[in-house]
Amino acid sequence: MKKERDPIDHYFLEALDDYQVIPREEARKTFLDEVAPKPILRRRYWPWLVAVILVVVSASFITILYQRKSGTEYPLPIDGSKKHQRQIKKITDEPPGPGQPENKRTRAIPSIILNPTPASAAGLAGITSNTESVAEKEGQSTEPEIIKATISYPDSSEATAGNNLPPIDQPDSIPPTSPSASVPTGKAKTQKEWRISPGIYYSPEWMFQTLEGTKPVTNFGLEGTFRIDRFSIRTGVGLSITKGTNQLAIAYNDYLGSYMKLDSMTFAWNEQQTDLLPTYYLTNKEVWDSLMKLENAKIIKRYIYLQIPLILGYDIISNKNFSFGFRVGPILSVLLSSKNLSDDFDPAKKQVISINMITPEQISLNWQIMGGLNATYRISRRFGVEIEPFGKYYMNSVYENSGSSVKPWSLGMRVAVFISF
Amino acid sequence: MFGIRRKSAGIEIIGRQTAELLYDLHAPKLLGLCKRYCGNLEDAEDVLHDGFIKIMKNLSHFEERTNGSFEGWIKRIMVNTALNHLRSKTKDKSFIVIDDRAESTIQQEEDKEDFIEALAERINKEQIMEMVCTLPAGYRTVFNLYVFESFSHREIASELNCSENTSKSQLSKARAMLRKQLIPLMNKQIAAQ
Repeated sequence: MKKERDPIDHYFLEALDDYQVIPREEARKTFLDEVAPKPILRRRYWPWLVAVILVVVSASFITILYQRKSGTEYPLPIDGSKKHQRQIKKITDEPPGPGQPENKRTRAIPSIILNPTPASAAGLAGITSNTESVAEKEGQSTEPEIIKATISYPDSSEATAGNNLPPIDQPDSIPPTSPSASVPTGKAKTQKEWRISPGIYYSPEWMFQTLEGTKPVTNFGLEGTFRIDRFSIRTGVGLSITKGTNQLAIAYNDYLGSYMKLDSMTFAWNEQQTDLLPTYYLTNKEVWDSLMKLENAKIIKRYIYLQIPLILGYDIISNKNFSFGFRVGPILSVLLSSKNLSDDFDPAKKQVISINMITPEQISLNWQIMGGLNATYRISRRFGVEIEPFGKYYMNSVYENSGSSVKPWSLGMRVAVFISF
Repeated sequence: MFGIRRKSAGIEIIGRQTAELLYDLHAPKLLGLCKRYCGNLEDAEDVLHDGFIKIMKNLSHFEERTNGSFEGWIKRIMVNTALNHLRSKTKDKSFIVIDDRAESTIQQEEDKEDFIEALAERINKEQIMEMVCTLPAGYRTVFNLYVFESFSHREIASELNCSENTSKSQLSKARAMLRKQLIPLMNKQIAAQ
């Protein structure tokens, strides 16, 4: 049944069917913030957190390893120290003399063990050989300075003279420890094993299996390699620069032009009351074609990523000047900035119906696994160069849209210059 | 950014830029619609906001739900949101005042088509909108659904949970009120000229 149309219905329908009110800017902003918050607020926070955690963990790991290794390599007189400890313990086991603080004695002993010199070694030997006599003297004497003389590593003659100690004879039971004998061969070896090598690197790479085909990526940055024997850990910070094409398919209706629509017209008499003067009320109406058209637009962008690698390595061949091995590890890439290199799409007066992002924007964070072969050549004792052909597999798509989940891979060559400490 | 895609149409809408585009393209007209239902701009903006959120959330289901135009679909969502808003106001006892005006106070001038045509040329859209906004919420809702959404009285009755006769009565009263408001406006226009 056809609805009856009252004239007033028709009038209001015609008048208000295309009625528009421009929303306030605050209302627009509120909506956009709710439905699509700016990425910097929501998405770029946690990648930074991950990056910082990764760096902190790497640094802590390396520091702990380094300290542990360094802490066990004091140049102790291996043979003599055990005896010294045992014999000095004997002294500390003696009851303190009257008026002598016990802690003074016990504090003095470790310094003797940890900082031996030829003189102190000789002094220690002297003490050892005269343990009983010292103990006896301690029991009789009220002066507690006997031990103090053994801490300051004076000449045995000075020490004995200055403190009225009985002369310490050269030991006959324990041979004096010479400086060369007191430093174990392990010390020199350890210095060779441990190397910290800061350096700079440059690595061009070619990324395959992207929506844009093959595209080049340029990486460069600072890095540090910590080597233990044949093993190495490499980390640092770098920048990765690449271009991306954001391709859009835009469906639109063409703009045909505009015309002045006559809304209303009134007539009024002129002052002489002789003529009727018309007054026209016009509104500008724009007209679009009803035929939908498609247009492809390309927006070229430059993406800059912060790269944090954590690469583990093992050298298969290693000699004085040359080493060869493999390197494997993850690389974290965090988007730092993206910049339009071309103009944004401008629909002008076209009526946009839909926008299809054929090639979406690049993702703000991704992980890669890198594997490569490393050849290191040491030009001198301090300087060296590295050449490393590598391959990378991207653990997640480089594009924002989850629909385009193609995972790219890349091949590249890393060149680095480093200084060894 | 918010992961909305229209798969079957081959259209994927992603990113703040697209949300902005969609909003800028449709919000003015939809805000006009909301104002027509709500009677004031503040409520209309609230409805517009809620409606747009629904649109963005359900954009991927557009193809599954309707074969009609996109504009028609978003308009329908906005009308439903406006009706829900008005229903929520009913709880505050401020919505739909049915039969609260005596028939005698409303002049029946339904046959005067010439009168309407004469008015059409004298009054601008803002004034016409103001007239609709000043209608009581019940009258305004029925009038909007009947005139602008082309609902039948049965559909209106179902939507508003009232009888068909009530819907007819409300529409009739709305028309009469509008006519009554048009006369002084027309006189004012003539006086101004």
